[in-house]
This record gives sequence, structure tokens and C-alpha cells, in this order.
Amino acid sequence: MSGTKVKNFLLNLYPELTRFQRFNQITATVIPTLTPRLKKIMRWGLPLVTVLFVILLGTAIGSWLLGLFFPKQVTPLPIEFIAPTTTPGYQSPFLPLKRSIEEFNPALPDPLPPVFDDRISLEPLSE
Amino acid sequence: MKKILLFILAPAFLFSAGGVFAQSTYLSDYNFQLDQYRKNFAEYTNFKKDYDDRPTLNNEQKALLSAKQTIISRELAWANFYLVLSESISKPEVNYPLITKATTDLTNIANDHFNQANKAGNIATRADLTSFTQEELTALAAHRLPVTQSQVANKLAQLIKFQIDAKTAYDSLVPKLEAVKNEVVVKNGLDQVQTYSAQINGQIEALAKKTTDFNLDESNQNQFYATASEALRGIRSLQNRLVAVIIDLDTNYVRH
Repeated sequence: MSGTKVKNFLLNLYPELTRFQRFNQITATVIPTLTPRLKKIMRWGLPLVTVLFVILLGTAIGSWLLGLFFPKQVTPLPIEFIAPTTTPGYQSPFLPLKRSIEEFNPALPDPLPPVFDDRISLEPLSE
Repeated sequence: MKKILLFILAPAFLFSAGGVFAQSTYLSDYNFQLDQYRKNFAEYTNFKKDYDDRPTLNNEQKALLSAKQTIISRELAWANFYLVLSESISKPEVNYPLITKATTDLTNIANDHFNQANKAGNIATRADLTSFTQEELTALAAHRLPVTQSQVANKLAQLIKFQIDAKTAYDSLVPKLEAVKNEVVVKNGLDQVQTYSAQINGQIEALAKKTTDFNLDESNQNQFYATASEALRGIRSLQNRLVAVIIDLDTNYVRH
């Protein structure tokens, strides 16, 4: 029933459609096969999809318009890079210096002074 | 002819070997005197206890002799300890005011202890011993400041040597980087070396000044050591980064 309504609506809008054999077939075969379940899904799905489409379209247009008012993001040119000329197995002569620095002990006092009795006496000492 | 040559070479060899031997003897002398002191001190403790328990003339004489021996080994151990420290400061062969002062101070302190060891040989009575120890305590108090400064100087000498070595490494590296010196990475690396060097030199100077200005009466020695240690750690960290950049430039940007 609704199929006929749609068909009539479309034919009213585009009378040229009668010229297409395919259109007559589609409306005759596809629309009547819509089950109540499919109809229900389409009844709610179509407005939902339409709303989502409108939101996305709006966002895209908004972004595009925003781009008109703000300067373009400038990305820096790639930094000049030279490929290291690494020699396989090369050991820098400065590695021992690095090792010495790493082994440097910053603790104080070093060397630790010995502990002696500096008050050796046979009688009490005055301070 | 061979004999003449041998006579010319022999003193030269002995002189150089003597230098090496003299350097190594401070530590062995110190260890030897430390052992002597421990033995003598254990003995002295026993004799003193005997004397405290039974103050006879005989016990007094034994305690006195033992105290004398302990003091002599202690003074010789102190003297050699300061020579070991002085040797450690001189080893990197760094010419820096704080370091020069430290080696002079330590040599004087070591000589004081050698003199005290000689003087201890003249202790004959209880009163002599007491007087000697009183004098010793005064001398030790006077040594505390230069010894504290010398401890920092010892560490700074090593760090300054690292800095000199890093400078030598940098100087040898720069001509090899001539072809790539305008490349961004190399330029950045060389700039970093300059920045780190300036920071390290500044921190070394600051610590040296702080050490020179240190006043033992106002500041606590342990607190000073803790602060100085922290500063040394900071300098070491910067030197580590500095040398890492030099090694990176050498390894990756110099054609070998």
C-alpha cells in the first residue's frame, strides 16, 4: 500500500520515470517485499541516519568555515639530516675518559682519615 | 766505554726509579705504621689498665713506654696518610690555586707529624706525656681546616684533569669535523660541548671558592662535605654528558 503511495509520489514528481522499465520493476518487486519488521527499522532508521548525516555535514561545513577565519597551520620544513658514517666496530679513543668519569667517586672524605686516639695520657686531660 | 755509559745511565735510572718508589712508599709506610699503631695501642690499653688498677712506678713506666711507642707510630701514620693524600692531589698534575695550596699545606702538616714523632721520643715522664698530648690536640685542631680543604682539592684535581682531557679530545676532534661542521647535528653537538664546558668550569670555580672561603668555626665539617659531595656529583654528571657528546661526534660524524 505504502509502495504505491511512494510510487505515485515519485511519478507525480518525476513523470519521466515511467520511461524506465527498471523503475516499474523495482517498485513492483522491492517495495511489496518490505516486511513489517523492515518497515519499522526503516521508519526509525531513516530519520536517525538523516539526523546523523546532517550533524556530520554541519560539522564538516563548520570546520571548513573555521579554516577560513584562522591561519593555516604551518608545519616546519624537515630538518636537514646527515646520515651518520658509523664505522662498524669502531671504538672511540675517548671511551676510557668516559669510564674514568663514571668511576669517579664524589664521596667525601676520600681517603677516609684513620681513627686514632689523640688523647693518649696517663692522667685526665683538660679541654 | 760501555762502563762509562753504564755510569751515566745508572744514576738516571736510579733517580727515575727512586721517584716511582718514593711515591709508592707513602701508602705502604702508612699501612705499616697503621699496623704498628694498632699493636702498640692494644698494648698501651692493657698497660694503662694495669697502671689505673695498680699505680706502681713499674706499671707507670710500662704504660709510659707503651704510650710513647703508640704515639710515635700514630704520628708516623698521620704523616704518611697526609703524604698519600698529597700524592693523590699531585698525581693529575693540575695547576690550580686550591690544589697548589693543598699540597703545600699537606706537606707542612706531614712535616709537623714527623717532628711530633721525633719529639715523642723525648717523652720521659707522665707530665711530658700530658704536655705532649695537649700540644698535639692544639695542632690537630689547627690542621682540621687545611685537611678539609685538601680533601675537596683532591677531588677537584681529578675533575679538572678530566676537563683538561676532554678539552684535548675536543681540540683533536674539531679539525676532523671540518667537512661536516655546518650540518645541523654536528653544529648542535659542538655547541653543546661549549655549553657544558662553560657550565663545568663555572661549577668547578664555585666549589673551589666555597672551599677556600670555608670557615670551620661557622660551618659544620660534615655538612660541608655533604654539600661539596653534591657539587662534585653535579660536575661529574655534566662531564659525563660532555664526553658522551664528544664520543658521539667522533664515532658517528668523523670518517675513520
